[in-house]
Amino acid sequence: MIDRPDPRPPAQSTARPEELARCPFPDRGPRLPGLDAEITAVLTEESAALDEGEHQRWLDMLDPVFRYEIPVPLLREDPALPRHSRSAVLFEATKRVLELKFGRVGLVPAWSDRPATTTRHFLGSVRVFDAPAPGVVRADANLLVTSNRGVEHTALVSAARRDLLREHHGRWLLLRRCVLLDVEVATHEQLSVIF
Amino acid sequence: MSFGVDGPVRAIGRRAFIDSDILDAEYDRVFHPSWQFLGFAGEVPEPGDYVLRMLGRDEVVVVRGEDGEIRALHNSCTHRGTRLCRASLGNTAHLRCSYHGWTFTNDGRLVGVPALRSGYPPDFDHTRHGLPSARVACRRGFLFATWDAKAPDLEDYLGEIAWYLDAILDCGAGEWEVCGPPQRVRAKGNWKIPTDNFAGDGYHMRTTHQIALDQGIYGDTLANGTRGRAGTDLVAVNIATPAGHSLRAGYVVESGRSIDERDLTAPQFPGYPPERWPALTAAQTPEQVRFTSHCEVAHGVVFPNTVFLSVAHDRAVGEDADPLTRYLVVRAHVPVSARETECLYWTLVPTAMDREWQRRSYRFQARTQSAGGILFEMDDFENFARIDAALARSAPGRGGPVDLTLGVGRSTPARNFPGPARAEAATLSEHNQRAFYRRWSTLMGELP
Ligand code: FES
Ligand SMILES: [Fe+2]
Repeated sequence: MIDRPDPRPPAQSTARPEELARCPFPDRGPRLPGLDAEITAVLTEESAALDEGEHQRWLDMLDPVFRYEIPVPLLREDPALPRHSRSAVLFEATKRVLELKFGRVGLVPAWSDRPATTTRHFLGSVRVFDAPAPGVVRADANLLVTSNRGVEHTALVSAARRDLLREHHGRWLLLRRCVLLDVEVATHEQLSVIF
Repeated sequence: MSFGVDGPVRAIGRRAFIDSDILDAEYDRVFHPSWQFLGFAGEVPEPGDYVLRMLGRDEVVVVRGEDGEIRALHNSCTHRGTRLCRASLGNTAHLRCSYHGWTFTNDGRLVGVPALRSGYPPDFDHTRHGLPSARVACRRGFLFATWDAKAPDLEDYLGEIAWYLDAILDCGAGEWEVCGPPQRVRAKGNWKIPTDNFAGDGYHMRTTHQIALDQGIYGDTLANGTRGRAGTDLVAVNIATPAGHSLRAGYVVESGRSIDERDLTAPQFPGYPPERWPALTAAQTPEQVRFTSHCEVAHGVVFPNTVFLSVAHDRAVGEDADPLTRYLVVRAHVPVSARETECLYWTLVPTAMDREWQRRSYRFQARTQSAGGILFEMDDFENFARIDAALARSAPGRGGPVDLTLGVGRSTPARNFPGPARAEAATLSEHNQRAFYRRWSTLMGELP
């Protein structure tokens, strides 16, 4: 079997938001340019929380059913085929897994987190689309991240990011994040980034 | 120079992990005469399906021909040497060179030469310009290849380790399926560093993975005896063969008991659903059950650079309702240079398990021990990079050779152990690493 797609059907427009965190990543709905500025501001705060080590603030921006995934990049002959696997991931996480990750900070034997890595997220070209569930939007963006930790570890990663955000009591929470790396084979420094 | 190796290997010179002339010699002396793992037949199910892989120094197109046979063809045109396949995977009936258009079938024959009749001498023999093709052997879906015409058959090459690999697979009660294309990552450090780690390094768990253990990613079961279900221990057996292959298996036993004292009238397979245990027992021979029952973790090396891990992870990485779930991952550690290694990871799931279990198994691998596994794998990469960084900041000979004496004289033969090769009971031992480096040293011999 090579890259068998998820057999579950894509979400219908009547889907519950929770289902969007699990089923195949929904296609873009109609463009919602009126939300570009508002969602860009949310994503800017969110990536600043990551870069500034405000981990609890970042986790608080995640929906309880949040799902994070980095599909395996595929360098294929046929340009018409998708450039990332529909089934295989380099990494996958729930909110709990990310809580475990950030729970490491400050703990002495968290070797790969001491000394800390400095990251900077550069976010651009945010475009908001409708998503097939009430109160949920999809935001596509370009992302450049730098990661530094001493002379041996200086990494630059570029990626396309696909986010789903859900409006909850007047604020936007991240429901899902899919990171499409541009590099075919990333280094372990690049993969240590939370995108 | 020698590597400071005496009869039973106790130490390896540090330059073996950093110097590029060592890697050059390894390609000729270690990789060339060995069978190397390329991937799985399931990655190329249809005629024309191909993936690119490395076989020693050479890039090969692993392709299923129109005749259904899988071959490993050198990915270089026989005219000027142009790389034929540029993509990492695809499907093609022909490999057509982008330079002058020489065309090869997917079984490696040269069948198209532009201007053949008008431009080439009459005695030009196209049959002598086919693509070099390595020996390929497929065993239970695992593809191995070698360029060495004199290498023994794969079955002889694997020797005793095949019995253990079969037992791990038979414990899944049927066929296994590979989950999509492999995860890949480039990591700092020589290829032998992660390989030696997988051979038998239970010793690093308490330090490298202390955080992961403290955070409970093995939950109430245990990985090394430091945590644990009350009243149980993890006891390990190390098995290493003269060919350099190895396996370390860790068993959950009642505190103070030996592996011999497991209750084999009711075999247990942690990580598989308990209601399936009778069916899994029935799918194995009684000897296999004596090896697989109560086994929480099994990992090892197929010499030279393929490793495997079967381990049960608890729900700390999943949802509250998730049961203890096992995954099986096979990895290749392919040198990029003497100081950098590409790791490829294939996760396998038994077709006998339901879709939900398979998904969970793959997710647990992806969250912990995958290329991007920030809860576990990154701590290993950290050490491999630290070794590399320190060796790069060392004068030759500073610091002495690498010590491999853990467990020397301290292990006992595992009594009544069912499989072939000598099994040593010792939870912490470098028995397997010594076997790996002994084989490596034998092949490397003296260097100029
Ligand atoms: S180099 Fe391939 S056809 Fe000339
Ligand atoms: Fe490890």
